[in-house]
Amino acid sequence: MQIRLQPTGTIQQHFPEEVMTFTLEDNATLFDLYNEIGYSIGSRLPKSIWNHEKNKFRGPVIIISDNRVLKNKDTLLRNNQLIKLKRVLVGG
Amino acid sequence: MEQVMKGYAGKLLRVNLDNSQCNSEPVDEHMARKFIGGTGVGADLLYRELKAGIDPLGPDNKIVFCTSPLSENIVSGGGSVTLCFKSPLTDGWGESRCGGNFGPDLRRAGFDFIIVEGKSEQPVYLEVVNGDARLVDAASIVGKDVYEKTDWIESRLPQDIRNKSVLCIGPAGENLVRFASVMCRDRAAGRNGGGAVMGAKNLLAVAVTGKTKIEHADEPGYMAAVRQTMGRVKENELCGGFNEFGTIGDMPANDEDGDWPSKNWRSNNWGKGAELFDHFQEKNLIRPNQCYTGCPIGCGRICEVKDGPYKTPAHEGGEYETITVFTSYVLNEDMDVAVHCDYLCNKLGLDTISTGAMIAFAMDCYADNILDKSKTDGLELTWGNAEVLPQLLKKIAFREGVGELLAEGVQRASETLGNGSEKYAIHVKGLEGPAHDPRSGKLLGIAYGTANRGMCHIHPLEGMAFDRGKMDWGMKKYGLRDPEQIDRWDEDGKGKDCSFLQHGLILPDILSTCKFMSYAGVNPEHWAEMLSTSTGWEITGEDLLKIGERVHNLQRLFNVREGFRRKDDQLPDRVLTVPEFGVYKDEENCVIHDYQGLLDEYYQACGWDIETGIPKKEKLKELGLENYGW
Repeated sequence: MQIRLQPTGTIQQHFPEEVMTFTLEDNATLFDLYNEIGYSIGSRLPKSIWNHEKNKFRGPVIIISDNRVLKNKDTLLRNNQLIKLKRVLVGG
Repeated sequence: MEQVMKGYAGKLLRVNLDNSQCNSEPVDEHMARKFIGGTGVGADLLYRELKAGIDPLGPDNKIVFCTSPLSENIVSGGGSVTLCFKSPLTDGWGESRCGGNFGPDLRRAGFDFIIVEGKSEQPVYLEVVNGDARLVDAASIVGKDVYEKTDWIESRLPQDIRNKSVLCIGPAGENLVRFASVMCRDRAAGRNGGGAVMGAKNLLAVAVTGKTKIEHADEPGYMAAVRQTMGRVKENELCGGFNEFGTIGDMPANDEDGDWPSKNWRSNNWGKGAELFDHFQEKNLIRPNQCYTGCPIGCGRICEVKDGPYKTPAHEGGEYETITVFTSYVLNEDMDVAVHCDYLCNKLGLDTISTGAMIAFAMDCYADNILDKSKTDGLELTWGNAEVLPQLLKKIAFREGVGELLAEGVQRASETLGNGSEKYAIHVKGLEGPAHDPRSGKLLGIAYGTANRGMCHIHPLEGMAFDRGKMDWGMKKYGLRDPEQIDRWDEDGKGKDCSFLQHGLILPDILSTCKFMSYAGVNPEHWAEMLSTSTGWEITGEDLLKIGERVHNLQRLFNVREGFRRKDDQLPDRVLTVPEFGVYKDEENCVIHDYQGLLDEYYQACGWDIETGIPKKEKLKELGLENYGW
């Protein structure tokens, strides 16, 4: 199945395209998407947003789909799902 | 007792420490309508009751503990209390907000405000229970730390009342450290030195408890407004971000974006933010935490250092500003030390930001041989020398050795040291700089220069959130420019933007609520609806912005009366200089090129005289401040 990834806001600059498409096995999870991102573009992402050792987003980068924030790495994804990335400011 | 004003407890407690009298006064409704509460009422009381030129650490200073009709646990951000006083750091307007439950507990105790004046001959604490107030001998807790004082006082409050809060000072406040904080256990009213003001009065703590119920003008309408606002926060994506990552979650991003002051502001970027954040998340973090009962966000962190030389018990800490000043400010790569220093500051009652800034200043002086081992009690204050940090904290809190110098704040310390140390003193109006860098976005520069309490990142709010985060806090509809259309390194227009935002984002201070609720979607009209239904007054979002402008101007007048002028709205040279190292070292665009032009634009937008920075008479008349002369 295919998953579309759309970075928004200030982190767009770090990605090669406005919307990227990743091909995953059926019944893939968020964890599988992270692995695919790490494999395909992870080396190009800065450490401010990507943990290269653990293959996951770092800091306040949130994953949004269907108007809700996805947190659980075991979340099942569906074909043609649009996943948005946004780095939120958490103040301080 | 009959409650006259809806939404308010209706009483102000006046405590005179000279004669140990505690008297209740009715809250003046005219004053309340004009200034609402929080730093608004605090500004009005202090402007009218203090004389210019008084010693902030003398008996003539007063300290006001302020709430508002929204100081209720069910209100988003409603746990806070704001403290107002003349600052011993700046000799000007001083204010500080503290999280926790003290705000609503003060109102449960029967009062909206406490104003403390004079000086007690002996150490005392103030106990307020169900409308009755008394001063209690506190000789047995002199010298005790914040946790010990809090536990001791809490155990003496009526045990049959569930809600109770204690604000107290630590050894730093008792020793008149000019940046001593007032603590609500692990939450701090940190900035501007309120702890020293209390210490100078021999007032070690204020304890409040009670069961007073506040009546609202339109109870169903009020509850609906409260629920709507809470829902707005809970559905906001930032709410989850705050809870999951805490404020420390900004470290990697701020480092990358040039918003991370490093090596005492020699740069705006260090490149180690991501690794330090990972260490905190994996080794120090225990869980998120709410600072007050009912908070929908829970940005607090319960953290610890499990073992090793800096073993530290679980406490609420790990806040972005604090961790930054104990890492990048001083080039410390050991997060465990930073967490330990955080804990020590809480325990000793020190403002973390000013404390870390003082140490960074001292390290700069040491590197330039202005300080040497003969003046530092043998300590090597070299950049990155983590082991000296906890030692310095204790020296500052107890004014021991070099701590005597550092306890005075960076402005006074540099004046004492001379020899060019002034260029290492990063402050505005005497308040040490916090952990955001205007070389990441230029609105922050004009905000730092003009904030009434000094070099402050929350008056209005972090400029970077406008310049980089593209947030408008619901204020575009009132005339604020669209941040999406503005580059972070643009200058034109940001003086006016800053003025606009200062009038709008002062509202959480006036309402004694948490500013993060404004991040999470609470707009002026949300505050207005809750206020209107609580008090029965018709208040719109636009009305609130006007009140915000009034309070901002009154605080400015407080400073003008103390002699502050345009010269005091200037930025340190280092902040206006291209970074010495890091990814922005060749980026000329990151530096404000025409700060004086920005200041002109800001004064014009405010209706202030461009030459002096003093509010014009017609502006004061427009705001109903024509009788507040100096």
